[in-house]
Amino acid sequence: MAREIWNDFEMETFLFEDRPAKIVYPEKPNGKLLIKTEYWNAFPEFEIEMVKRGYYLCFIRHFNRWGSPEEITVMANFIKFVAEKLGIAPKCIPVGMSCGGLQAANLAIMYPELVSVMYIDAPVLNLISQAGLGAHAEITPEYWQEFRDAYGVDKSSIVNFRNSPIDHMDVLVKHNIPIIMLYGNADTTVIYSENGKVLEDYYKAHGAPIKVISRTMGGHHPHGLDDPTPIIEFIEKYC
Amino acid sequence: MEKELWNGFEIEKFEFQGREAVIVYPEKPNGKLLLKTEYWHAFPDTEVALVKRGYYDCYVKHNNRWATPDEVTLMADFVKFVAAKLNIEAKCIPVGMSCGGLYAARLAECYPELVSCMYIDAPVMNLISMAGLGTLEAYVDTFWGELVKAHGFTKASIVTYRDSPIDHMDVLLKNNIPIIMVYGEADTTVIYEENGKILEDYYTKNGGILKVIPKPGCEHHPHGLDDPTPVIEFIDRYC
Repeated sequence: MAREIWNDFEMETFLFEDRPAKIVYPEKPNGKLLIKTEYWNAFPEFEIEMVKRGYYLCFIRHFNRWGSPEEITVMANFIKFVAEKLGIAPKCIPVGMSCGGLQAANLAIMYPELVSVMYIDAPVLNLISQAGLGAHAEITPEYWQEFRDAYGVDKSSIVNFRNSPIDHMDVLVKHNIPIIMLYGNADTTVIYSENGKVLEDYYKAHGAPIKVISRTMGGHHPHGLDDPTPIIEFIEKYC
Repeated sequence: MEKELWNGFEIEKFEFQGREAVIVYPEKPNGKLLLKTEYWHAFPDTEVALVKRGYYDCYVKHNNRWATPDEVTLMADFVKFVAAKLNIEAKCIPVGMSCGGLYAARLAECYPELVSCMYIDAPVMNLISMAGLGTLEAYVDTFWGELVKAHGFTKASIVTYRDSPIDHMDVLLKNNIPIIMVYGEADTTVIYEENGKILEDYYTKNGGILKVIPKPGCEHHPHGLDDPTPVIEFIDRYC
């Protein structure tokens, strides 16, 4: 274990199941735990604000960013480990951007008992879309290769793939997991209508708790909001 | 209603909800009802053999071959109408080839109480495959044009579509609907691995009643078997 400073907060770094991991400590802990699910240090303003408010923050680097089941299982083990180490309830608040949103949703689907509420931003929720089979214009061969390596799918089996978050939204609703979702309505990297919109429609149709904020003319980046207050209020209400 | 002969049997032709419809009468009715779900004149040998054994046969013409919800509802209404008219139980045995297999499966998923068992042949089970997003190349432009017209798909919405038969196989299993499925191993029009194979794997894994008969070297056509005995025996046993 090593100790560092991250945005003025104490941070511990270590390996967990062969993966680099981190825990950031607030000055006055409130017993709640955020997990940044991918892209550590990308658009961290929201997390910094939450740590100021007393939330722990943790992160584990996965072998791939596509939320494959074995990686999600490692994530679940990590959360249980961190919660026990900190002496808090084994529950977390995933903060997931893009493929981090995929991981957040898959965590909540596979281990709903570990998730209290989540914040997802321009989330990948439909791998058939992200494989470039929809209206998607910007899928690179490298993306496709990553995805094939992560899931072992091929050009034929991708059309039968039914383990995207949008294929298991019933689990999220059944466990009544509140979601705050942001997206840019000009995002051409993760097409909202093929991903987040499906979740938005499903949650609304079932009366489940969701708040959706559209960034007008926003592309895929930046994630987050200039003023994160709506996200913070949502998290504090439900966590 | 006018009466004529179909393969030596009495056939009644009439309109049902504005659609062409037929009922074929066996000489000695056994009280069971076949429903040819599409392509009335195609490969009728199995039906002829079954009518000889006492099965009624019926058919209603649909506005499209892609099993849109309104057409599946009309099909269900038709089955109930025919059963009431013949004074038999409101159950049928769908006989579905290609897109007819799609109708058969959607009927069974939306109205399981109307289906006793079914015979499907080179069935369409996955519209994402038929839209050409997998490895299908044959007739893709034709199919896509028809799918857009029937279902109102766009390039973005097709990747979120989850009302193909493979998306609701749990209903077939839960209602314990026996299925006999025939397919050509060299079929390049309806790719087995992206359609029927998903049902085969699901039923096999979960203990559903299923008999699968592959035809080595056979393309999409002809449907049926040179000797339909295995299909007849399966239907006699489970209807």
